[in-house]
Amino acid sequence: MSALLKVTNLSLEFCTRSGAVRALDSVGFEAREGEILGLVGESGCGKTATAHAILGLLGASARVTSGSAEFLGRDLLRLKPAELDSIRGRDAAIVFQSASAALNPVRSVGAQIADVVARHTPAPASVVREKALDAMRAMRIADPERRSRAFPHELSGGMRQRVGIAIALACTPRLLIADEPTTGLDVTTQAAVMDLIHAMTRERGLGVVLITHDLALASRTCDRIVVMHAGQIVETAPREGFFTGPRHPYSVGLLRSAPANAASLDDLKPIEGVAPDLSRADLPHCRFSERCARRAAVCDAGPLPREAIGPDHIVSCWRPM
Amino acid sequence: MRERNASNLAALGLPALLLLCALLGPWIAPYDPNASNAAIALQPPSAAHWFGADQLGRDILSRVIVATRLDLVIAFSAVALSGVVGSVVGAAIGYFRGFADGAVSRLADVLMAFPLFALAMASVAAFGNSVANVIVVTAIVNLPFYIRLARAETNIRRDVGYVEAARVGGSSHGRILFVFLLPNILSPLVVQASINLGWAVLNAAGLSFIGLGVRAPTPEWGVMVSDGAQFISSGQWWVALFPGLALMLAALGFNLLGDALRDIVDIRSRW
Amino acid sequence: MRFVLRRCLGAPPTLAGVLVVAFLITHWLPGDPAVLFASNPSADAGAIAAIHEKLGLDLPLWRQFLIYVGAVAHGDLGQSVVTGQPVARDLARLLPASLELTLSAFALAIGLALPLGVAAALRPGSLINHLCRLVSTAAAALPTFVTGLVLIAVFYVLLGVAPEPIGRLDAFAVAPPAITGFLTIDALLARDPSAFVMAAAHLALPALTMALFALAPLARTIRAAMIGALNADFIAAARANGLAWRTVVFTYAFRNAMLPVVTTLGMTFSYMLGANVLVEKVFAWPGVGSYALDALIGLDYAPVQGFMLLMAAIFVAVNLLVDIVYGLVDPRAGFEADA
Repeated sequence: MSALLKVTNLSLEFCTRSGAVRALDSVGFEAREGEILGLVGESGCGKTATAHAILGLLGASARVTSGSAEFLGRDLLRLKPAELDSIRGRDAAIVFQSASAALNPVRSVGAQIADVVARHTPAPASVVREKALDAMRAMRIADPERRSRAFPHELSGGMRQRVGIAIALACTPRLLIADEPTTGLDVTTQAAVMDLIHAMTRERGLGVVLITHDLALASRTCDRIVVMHAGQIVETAPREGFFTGPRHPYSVGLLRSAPANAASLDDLKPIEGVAPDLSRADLPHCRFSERCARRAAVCDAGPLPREAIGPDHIVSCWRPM
Repeated sequence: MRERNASNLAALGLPALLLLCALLGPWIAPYDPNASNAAIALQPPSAAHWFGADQLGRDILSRVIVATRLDLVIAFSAVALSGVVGSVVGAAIGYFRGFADGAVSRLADVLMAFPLFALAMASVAAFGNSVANVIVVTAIVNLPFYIRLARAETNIRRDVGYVEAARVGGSSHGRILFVFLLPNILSPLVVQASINLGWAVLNAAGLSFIGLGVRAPTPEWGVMVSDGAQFISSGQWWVALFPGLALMLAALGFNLLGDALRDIVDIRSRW
Repeated sequence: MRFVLRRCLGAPPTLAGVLVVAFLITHWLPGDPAVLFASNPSADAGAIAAIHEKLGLDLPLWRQFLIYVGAVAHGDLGQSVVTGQPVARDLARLLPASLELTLSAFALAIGLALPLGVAAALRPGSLINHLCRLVSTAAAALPTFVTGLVLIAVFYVLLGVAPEPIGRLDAFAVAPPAITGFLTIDALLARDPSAFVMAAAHLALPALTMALFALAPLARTIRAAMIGALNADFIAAARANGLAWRTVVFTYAFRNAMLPVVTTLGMTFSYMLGANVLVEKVFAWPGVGSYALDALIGLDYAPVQGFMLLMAAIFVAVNLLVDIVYGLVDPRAGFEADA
């Protein structure tokens, strides 16, 4: 399973009226073919910013201050908009959190899928239309001919999400970034959506980066886990290794605070404190240190280490557990 | 930023200048606005008469300055009338809802169907050609906007905490309306009113241009433009143009003021 | 279809209200109403008494109202003293002139406002944006009659490129055979290029005057709608799917932005209809506005009433049309109405 996307040392700032917000600090991870990589962390830790940075979707106020995102032999961060346009939607695609917001309300869903197909694989209209219907069938959408004429508001939330994924996968990309694709969906639909993504991974060798704050979901579906906190990657591990033996204090805290792991309410242990304000000029090297019970002098000494403590298991901590 | 400052300056400066002319008109005018002097009839702008003289030899600058008062009075009265009546009615129906709401909204729809000039012409025919009539008609045509605005704003605030508390506390409906709701919907109403002023000034002048409301020899911008229109073909442009310019500056000043106020109240509509 | 019918149902109550207001104002007109409706303005006492009876002027108010509505439904808007013709006929004869003016001005205003608003939305902070802002603020302060006079002063008096503002054609010119009543179209239909040029030349300045007036709110609304559409989430999603910028702007953003613009277009058109009285006076344009104005000055009130009723009716019709178009174009609107 070779590396499909290699993000190295990615740092990002947002320029705001109250100063620079250093949203990402030396973020690095690898997404591989045929594998689902879970990118987990609290809300606001920078997961979506990372995804947007990789695909060039950031606004004008964002500045990438260092790093690279290698994909199919090219650095996505250094490409010109036109070059990026030809990759997006075709080789690398993204599914947004809220499909309702991601779909054009006044255009039929079939037309929206066809637009993307036509953009990347110019062909006569009938061929394009057939490909759009195929994309819908792959998403197990029943009666695609009729459904393709529907408008987004006429479909249920789950159906809209399937359409969103259909658009993303219509041109058979190599990499899919799924940003919280199951938020707001009921459990059955969640399962169905994840099954689809899983099937794509197995059948087509699709590499997936699944962004989520739901640890339970990650434990069921992801092959490897990457944990983020306040714009920094703190731990990377295979699923088994992570859930049985997390080594970073933050990861340990996360697992301990998950309701599924607790026998009763009293067992729930929240992580103390809050993530630091990223617009501060005096951010510590380890952004978790101010909340960490294991903090020591060495933690303030220098930039975070990347210690390999097992097969494919890397921790960014001076004093792992 | 520089032009934001320039437009803010104009937003304050122009209306201030106009108010000054309106208040002090007769005293700051260089000549008697009604004094005719056949000897200087239709003289172009000169050092003695900055805006030139009209066909009766009256100084145009003086007439323009003095006319400010009348135009502003008409515009302010119309806006104030429609603003006050519209807000109270709108707030009332937004608060009480029910049958009155539907009926008044329908009435507002009907009122909106009548273009100002058409309605003004018809009312002048029925009720006589007077300034009061013009003010009332302008106010009536404007009414639906205030009713709608007040109704919407009251609707939003009606079920909010402090209103509920007042109701439970035993305050009468009238008290709730006047003490709690109306003061709180004041700012969007004031913004609407100041934007309206520019429109009202233009319409007051437009109506008198076609002969409704103010008539010659009273100095009023619309009347002056109407008088001077006939001289444009023969090249004496100043008779009609200077009052027209004053009118434009007045409308511009109030529009900018309205925009500036709206910027303060609602950030989203910024340029 | 159901949607269209439902929208149509909303119009009659407003129309009824309009009729009530029109009737009340008619009722309060000075002078004897019977004279308004007499077929011969100098009818004698016996004829007037007969009309009194026919109009039921001794009947209670509400019955007079019904008679009035009946008359209007039959197209009877009274008689003009000045022209000696039925008001309805006069209005029908003169309406094409006003419509030609308003529609040309409208087309011109859209033609200018659309590129300006869209370009300003696509390039925030640029020169175009400042221009759009300037136009929207300054043009809104322009009084129509002053603009008209300035244009005449510049283009006719000073530069001599515009024809004398005495109406739709040069003095003593013969109009092409009237098919639509729109001189420009009639000239084209009659294959008379010189007539077309003349009609268009006379139309130019008044249409420009009215267009400048409508430009401000239109440019402002188009720009705002475009910005709103471009900021929508699905635009970012479309970009993420690699759609070309051009597709995104026109197929996705523009179409969505046009929905609120359609509503503004309706309102602007109605407002222009009302304001054409001023322009028709400045340019001596023989339309319904100047007809009503002349009647008012001549103390001839039936035409004034007829004019007011006509304008209100057109307003209601235009609004209805806008509502229907909006409902047909926006798939969400119909859905909510039927739900």
